Amino acid sequence: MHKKITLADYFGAHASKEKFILELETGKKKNHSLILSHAHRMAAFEKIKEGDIVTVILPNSIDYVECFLASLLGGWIFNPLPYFIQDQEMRKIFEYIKPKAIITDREEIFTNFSSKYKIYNSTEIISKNKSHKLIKINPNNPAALYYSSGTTGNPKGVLYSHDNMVSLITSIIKGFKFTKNDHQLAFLPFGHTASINYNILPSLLIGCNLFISKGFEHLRDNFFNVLEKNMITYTEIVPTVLFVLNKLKFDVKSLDLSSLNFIGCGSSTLPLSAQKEFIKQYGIGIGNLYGLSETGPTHIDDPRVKNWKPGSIGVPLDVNECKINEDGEILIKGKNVFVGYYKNEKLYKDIIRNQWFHTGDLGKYNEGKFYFNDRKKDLIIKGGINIVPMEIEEVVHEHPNILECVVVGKLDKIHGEDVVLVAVKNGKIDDTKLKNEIIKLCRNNFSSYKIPSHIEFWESIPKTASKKLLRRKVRVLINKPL
Amino acid sequence: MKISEITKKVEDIIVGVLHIDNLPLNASSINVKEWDSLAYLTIVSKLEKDFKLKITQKNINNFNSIKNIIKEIKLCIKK
Repeated sequence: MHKKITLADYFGAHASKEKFILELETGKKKNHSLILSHAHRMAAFEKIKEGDIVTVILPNSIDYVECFLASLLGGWIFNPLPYFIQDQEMRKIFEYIKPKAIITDREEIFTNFSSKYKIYNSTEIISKNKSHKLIKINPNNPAALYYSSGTTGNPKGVLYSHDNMVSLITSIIKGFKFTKNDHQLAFLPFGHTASINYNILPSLLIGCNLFISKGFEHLRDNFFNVLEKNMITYTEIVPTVLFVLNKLKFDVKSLDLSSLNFIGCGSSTLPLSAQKEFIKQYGIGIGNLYGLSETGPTHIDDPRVKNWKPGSIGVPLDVNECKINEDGEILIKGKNVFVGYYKNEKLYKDIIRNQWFHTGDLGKYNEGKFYFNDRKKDLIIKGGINIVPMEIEEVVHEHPNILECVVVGKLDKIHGEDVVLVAVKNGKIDDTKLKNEIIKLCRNNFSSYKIPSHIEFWESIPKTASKKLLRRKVRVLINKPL
Repeated sequence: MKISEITKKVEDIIVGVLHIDNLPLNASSINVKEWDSLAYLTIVSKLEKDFKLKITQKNINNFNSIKNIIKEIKLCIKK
């Protein structure tokens, strides 16, 4: 019998005709057995070999899940990117990652990148040979490469091994009490790790039904009806979705939501007031979830637990240990901690000391629960998407009329945080003209969510005695109530 | 407020959120790729603030084009 190493092996061991994945908007439904056999044929595709990095830019779909499974079965390194990623940003990432293959359905990617990269539509990824053979995969080999811009503005690729993935997802299933009878709903963009870790991979490993939506825009007027109709037991949201649901004040009294165990909310800070408001309004438990690309989810905040109170991030999953350092930083150690940064061994060594991963987040421990306080890193999280301020600052600095600048997050009721640029002008130039030029510069370099929504020109930016920009102080000033 | 003033204000909000130079008259989330789901929510929240609109389950999907936004604002003014 084939030894179970990858997550796809676990899926293969129980894939049946009874369990399925359903696309809510298209109605397309496919059973696990068919998904598995198709993924095997994809994995045997002659032009992609074991160890190849395969970038996937697809909308939320069954195709996406099949690509992921094929990647695991074939020993490829799965590199998901957001579906609506902008051209210039994509170019930068491709140059860094140098994918061996790109799977997408976006026509302009074929047009703009075909001369340099091998690009395929998912339907082309199929072996001519109908039989397939299982390859032996080393559990320590990377299964996925999760890209982020990096805290210094330099690109960062998180290498996540097969062993990391299986250990993490097994632990999530245990901690979240997922079962094969569950109905999971995944609607957050699959190009980010939230849906992958909380919905897709657990449903594959345990073999439960998975309902896929293309995005919240398709659910925002009937979210709870969709949960009721499909007897959803768990779904994962981000604070932005929660804020909108709070605002819309759905009447759920007439709905039967008894199947729903709870909803998980992660990817950015969940304000306690919003969490309480949601519980009060809908009577549905909402867990405040914590994790990073380097570790995946690390804790479980389960509202079903007796005497549960909102506010903490809960207790560590059994895959990892967690402790708070002397300076308040949250540290993680376990089999879910990633195996390396792509092309950057030094950074990996800096961030993992004595086997403890330094998250860069500040927290506390109280009465058996962990609490997230703040980020030690300077990350901005807008609508659940990480934005590295330095990446934007580097580009703005290119403008000859900018002497210095800082990008910080401003608290926002819908997105959690918004991007604000504070700059000092170099020379005489009209504010509006300069603002427009900066926006244009950003537009040429970034996807739209990274473009500052507000620009301020200051006489000077606060600095330390050693002339280092005091980003935190700027952040405080920007968030100060008027 | 005159329709032309409403239109100008709506266009300014959309341009401010989407950061685009030329906003077509028939701009919508279908023909402007920057008008994604995150931008949609930003536009809605700005309209809510500037026009004192009430966002409900019934109208949440009606802010997907300049034409529809103006229609919603008119409805709100009538009320």
